[in-house]
Amino acid sequence: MGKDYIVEMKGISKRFGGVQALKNVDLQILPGEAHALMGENGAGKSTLMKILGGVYTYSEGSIKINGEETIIHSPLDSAEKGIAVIYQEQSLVDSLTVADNIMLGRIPNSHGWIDRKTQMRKAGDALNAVAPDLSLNNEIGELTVAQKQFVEIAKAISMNAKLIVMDEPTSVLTLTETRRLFSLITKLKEQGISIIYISHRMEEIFEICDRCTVLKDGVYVGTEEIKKLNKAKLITMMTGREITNIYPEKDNCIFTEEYLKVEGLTKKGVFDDVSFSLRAGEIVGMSGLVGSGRSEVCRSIMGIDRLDSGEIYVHGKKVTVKTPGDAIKLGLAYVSEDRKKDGLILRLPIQNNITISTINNMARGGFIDNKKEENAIDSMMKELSVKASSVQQEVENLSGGNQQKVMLANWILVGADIMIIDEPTRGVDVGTKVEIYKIIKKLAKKGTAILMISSELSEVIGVSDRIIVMRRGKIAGEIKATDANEENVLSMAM
Amino acid sequence: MNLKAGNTETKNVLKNTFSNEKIRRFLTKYTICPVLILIIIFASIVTDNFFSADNLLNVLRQVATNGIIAIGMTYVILTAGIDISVGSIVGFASIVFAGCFQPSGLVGPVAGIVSVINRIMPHDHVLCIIIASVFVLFLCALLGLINGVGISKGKLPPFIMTMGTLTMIKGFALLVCEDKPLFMDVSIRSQINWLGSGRVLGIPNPVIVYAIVTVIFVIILTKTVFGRYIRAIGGNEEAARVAGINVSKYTTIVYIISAVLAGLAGILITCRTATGEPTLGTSYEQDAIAATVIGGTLLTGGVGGMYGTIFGVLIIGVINNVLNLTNVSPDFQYVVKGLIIVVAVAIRTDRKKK
Repeated sequence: MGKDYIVEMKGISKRFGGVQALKNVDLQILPGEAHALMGENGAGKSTLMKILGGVYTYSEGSIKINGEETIIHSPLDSAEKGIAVIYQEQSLVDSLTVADNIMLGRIPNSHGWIDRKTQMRKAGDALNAVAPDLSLNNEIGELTVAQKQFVEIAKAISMNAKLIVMDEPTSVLTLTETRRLFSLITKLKEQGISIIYISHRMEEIFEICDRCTVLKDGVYVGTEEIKKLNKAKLITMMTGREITNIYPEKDNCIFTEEYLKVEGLTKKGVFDDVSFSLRAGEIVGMSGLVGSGRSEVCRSIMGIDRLDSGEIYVHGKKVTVKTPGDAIKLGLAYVSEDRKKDGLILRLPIQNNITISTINNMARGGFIDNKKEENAIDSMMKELSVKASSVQQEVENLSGGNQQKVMLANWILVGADIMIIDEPTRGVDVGTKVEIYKIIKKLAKKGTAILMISSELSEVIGVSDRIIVMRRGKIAGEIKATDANEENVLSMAM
Repeated sequence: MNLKAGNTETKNVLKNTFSNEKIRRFLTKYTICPVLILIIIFASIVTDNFFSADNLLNVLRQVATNGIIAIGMTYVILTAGIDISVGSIVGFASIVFAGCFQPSGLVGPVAGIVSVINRIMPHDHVLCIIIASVFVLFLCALLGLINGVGISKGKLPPFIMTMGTLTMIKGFALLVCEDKPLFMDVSIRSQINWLGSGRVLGIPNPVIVYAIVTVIFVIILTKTVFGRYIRAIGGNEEAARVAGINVSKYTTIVYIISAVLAGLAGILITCRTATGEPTLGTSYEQDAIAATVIGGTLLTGGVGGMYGTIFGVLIIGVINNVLNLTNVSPDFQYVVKGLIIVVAVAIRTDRKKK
């Protein structure tokens, strides 16, 4: 035995007040491997990584780095010990340059006067290894999300990190950018640097990772080599349930009425001459690369953003939508792409968020009918199985999957005929994904026309009846889900 | 394939929600409440007459007008905004209100307008005040409308917009009386003094007004759709808009409320002093903001509420009172007030960290 792990966490336990976040968790990382850390939302992955990153302490267990037992006192200490964590919320400074950010906190200087030459050399070496096309003098604020991510990795390399933790790195990347990231990961592995990879996208895990550790409810489930696993086995380890079908069964749409028709929708520089229609009970998937204009089109239909020209017909009648309020009155609903940005009010309780769009209907003369609201919330919490300690709990304290459900609940209560759902399962674990797909299917069966924007190809193909593909602001094509596969949808999108 | 894992848990969720949890949450949210109680206990030990009816009513009387302004400020801050023009509006209300009873004290076109009001005012004690008040509060509402439109449609940051109106309104109030306060004649004094200095069942009238206004605005905030919308806008304005809320409309209304309540405070004070003071409310916004913030309402919006502000208002009043009773210099009261603000927010901030 005696494998040389670069990092070994054994028997780690962590409490937060009365909640046991982690219990007896093990994690062992070999040099030069990409190790997936899997688990549902709330399984403890972030907590474990925060312990490794020196943000949290732990009550039991031990950590060994290169065989030596050690205590990680702080994020700086963790970095000095060779561990770099790249979080979803980035830690770069927008107004400074790439060079400054790479060396942030360790800018070479003599008595306070910056040694520009050394700084540029060290930063340059790191940047070249990662993203040779970027310039050291770019301002971070000007870079794309993907480029910022590469700068973070360059920063990690310049700090001689032996282990880089990536938390959901691809959730905001385009396909090309994802491929670049993967090539980089392969290169890093060859240099003996290890990666801990956290993601809900199974396809990526199977493509890029070597081994995988699964957590469930703060408990260690097991570690396995990726080649010995398959999707079903992995899901069972994560959820404790056997899920053979992620996507609900498809059946023939029995409704025929056209609920929504849009013609010639145009917004200068964003989208051009977009036309399509939706029937009752249909689930239409909207595919396309990030930046193809899907969300922008839908937000314009919903009155959130302005439209330059084009016509919208609801139930066959031409309508004008100036505000989201207008759209809701016409029977439209839009579930935001970014729940934290404009889909939920994080610091308010679940109660306020679930009824935000419909509270006016639960009131008489402006006064809220408490019983009516209670009943509505009651039914939504039950129907969507939202896990929370009470409806007064602030939404920011919920897991990603539950937050998504709360946001959906609001729009389901609106009872719209036409529902536009933008990225229904972003940042949501597989168990909750299955629940959300079932909810969408149920709505469709009742006759709701659903337009689902998604960047996950398997999701689009698995859930939709029909797929519309957008490319650079225009409709590139349409295809029935039964005829679709990843290749032909992608080729239309690119 | 049974995926209904959440159902038993969900039942417990709802059981927890509507029970004693409410009281526990109240105390956590309004930590200031036990602090206030402690200070009151301290006060009754350290002084002889803190708990006398006379003294308590005195405290209430002194905080009543500030309390009214703080109500409006709380609404504004809940929307993640701020209204620093309330001080000038108090002064504006004071001089115009006084002018309604004594138009000779004003100059220019405004003098003409208030003369008209004066002519239609009867001599009855109550009616004359009502008519003058309606007129003044209507003007204040217009000022609030200006603030509201500038902030919601003009997209001006609240601080900047209300700083602009603060200065303009102050200038206007001074112009209208040529920098000279309006001392009301003895005969008029008797008409209005009852509201400012009178009592009903021993309770000073301003306190009664404060109590009524407080109840109204607590109910609006906690039980109406409007109250929910305010919190939503303050919590995440963009999310509120996407959810279908008319953000411009409700933001404007909130600034109108703030201005009207500031006007009301100005009227009450003027009824007591019988003097139209254009600079009456100078720096009154500080007290209003302090009370709101001490009470636990976050400047970032959405979180907090009326109960907290009431405690905030009382704490400032009680501490000032204790310092007075123990003969501490009034200047020192400033130091103490500033200290409370910092401590109160520090306590609140710690609680937010995980």
